[in-house]
Amino acid sequence: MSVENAPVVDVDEAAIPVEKKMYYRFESNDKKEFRVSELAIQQSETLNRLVEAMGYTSEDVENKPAIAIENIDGKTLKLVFQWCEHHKGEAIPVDDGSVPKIVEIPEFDAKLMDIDNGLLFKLIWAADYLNIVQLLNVSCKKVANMAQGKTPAQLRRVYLLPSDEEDEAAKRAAQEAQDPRAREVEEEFEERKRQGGNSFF
Amino acid sequence: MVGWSHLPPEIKQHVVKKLDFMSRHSLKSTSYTDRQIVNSTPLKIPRVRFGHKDGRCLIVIYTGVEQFLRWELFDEGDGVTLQRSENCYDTAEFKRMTIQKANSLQMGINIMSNLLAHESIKIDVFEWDIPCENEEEAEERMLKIIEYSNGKKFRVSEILSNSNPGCGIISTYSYFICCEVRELKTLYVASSDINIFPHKTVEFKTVTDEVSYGVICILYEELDEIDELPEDAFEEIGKHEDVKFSCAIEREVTAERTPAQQPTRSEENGFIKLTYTTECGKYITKMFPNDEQFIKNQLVVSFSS
Repeated sequence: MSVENAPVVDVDEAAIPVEKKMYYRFESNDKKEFRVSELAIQQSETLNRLVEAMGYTSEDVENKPAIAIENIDGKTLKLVFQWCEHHKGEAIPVDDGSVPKIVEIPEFDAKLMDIDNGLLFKLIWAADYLNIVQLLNVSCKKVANMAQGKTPAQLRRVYLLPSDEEDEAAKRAAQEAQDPRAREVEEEFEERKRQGGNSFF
Repeated sequence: MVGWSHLPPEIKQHVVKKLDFMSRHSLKSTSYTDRQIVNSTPLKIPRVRFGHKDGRCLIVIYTGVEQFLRWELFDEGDGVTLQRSENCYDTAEFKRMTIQKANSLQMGINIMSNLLAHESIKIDVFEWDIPCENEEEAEERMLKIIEYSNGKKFRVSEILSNSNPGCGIISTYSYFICCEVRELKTLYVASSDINIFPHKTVEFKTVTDEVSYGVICILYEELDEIDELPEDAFEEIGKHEDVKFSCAIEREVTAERTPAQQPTRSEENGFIKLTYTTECGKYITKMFPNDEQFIKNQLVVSFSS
């Protein structure tokens, strides 16, 4: 099945297939709605537990508001659900603890992940958040393949990595942003400097 | 834009688990944070081979099926010429460089330590091939290796050393640069005049666990030679205070796969003999009656009651 033919549809784009199977409705943080089959949802441990806990009937699915997934946008969620629909019914792999982990990327997944790096990292994030083990495996493998044969300098460019110095500066900035007292002291120091004082003390 | 730096450490670890060995090493060299991520992600390496002879050093890190990294180092003048290759024996593909004021043994140990001596990396089999004329030379070589390793230790499950006069020294001293060793094997191989099969392989193995024991493993082309095995070979092993049992395993090496057959048991001259066939050939295992149950548990074939 090609990526284009995967049965995830935006509600406002296509007709809903008339089937006896239950299709749940989900909404992304940018208010895009998706219908996903019960079997496809089983690929996501998070969503599967959620729908089990909700105990929706077919009527509930239609009458109640779509289940909101607050921290994933529509573009990413569409990819996630396309992947789940294509791989529905497949066994969920169990981590055997082996490293390096051997992962093959199927053709469908390779096409699905033929996207820019920003979206790929969002997809990884979503797979982790929704606990979709095999999607996390293949998407992480795709990122790992990007590193193959690269020197540290090339890797910095591919992954947009900061250097140790930039890393340290970012860490300091984050700490200062989290500590209001440190910011107050810094502002007071700047104020005294403006008033002509040579020393803080 | 969401990028690598925005991923939480646990997701980065998922990626690191899927990196090949050298990419993992490259990532480690990019930033402090990524070094921490890599160092906190365990890695298992199936086999590492280290050899040194006559100013030439060889390091091979086997990372998977037909996947390996290979370094060759040659002493040249007061420097070292280094050749590196990955999954390839074609010399045209080798990357070469020369390093001044170094020697091949020191450089080889440095490369190995930098790549492998870390608590996140576990080596299944560490093969030492350092042929020496005598024990004194072997001892001198091992002391240099210990000095060059600068206190760093490799986590190793099994150490394998080849037969040479200094193999005992190498096995003993290797504990100073390796830790967590569970098995120590010394392999003696003699080639045949008529074909490429090993004519004879003798293996002495020590396992350090709850019990320590020794195993003599002998592979002959002709299965009847097991009866010529001197009984004092067993007794010699039995003298060692840590040795809990011993056995002899003889294997008929064939080019063709043989169908697996259930073991048959017989008693002869105070020994138990188990004869069985696996896909790798025909085996006879000879042991003391007291060791029978333990050895049966160690063998790869299953025994019907």
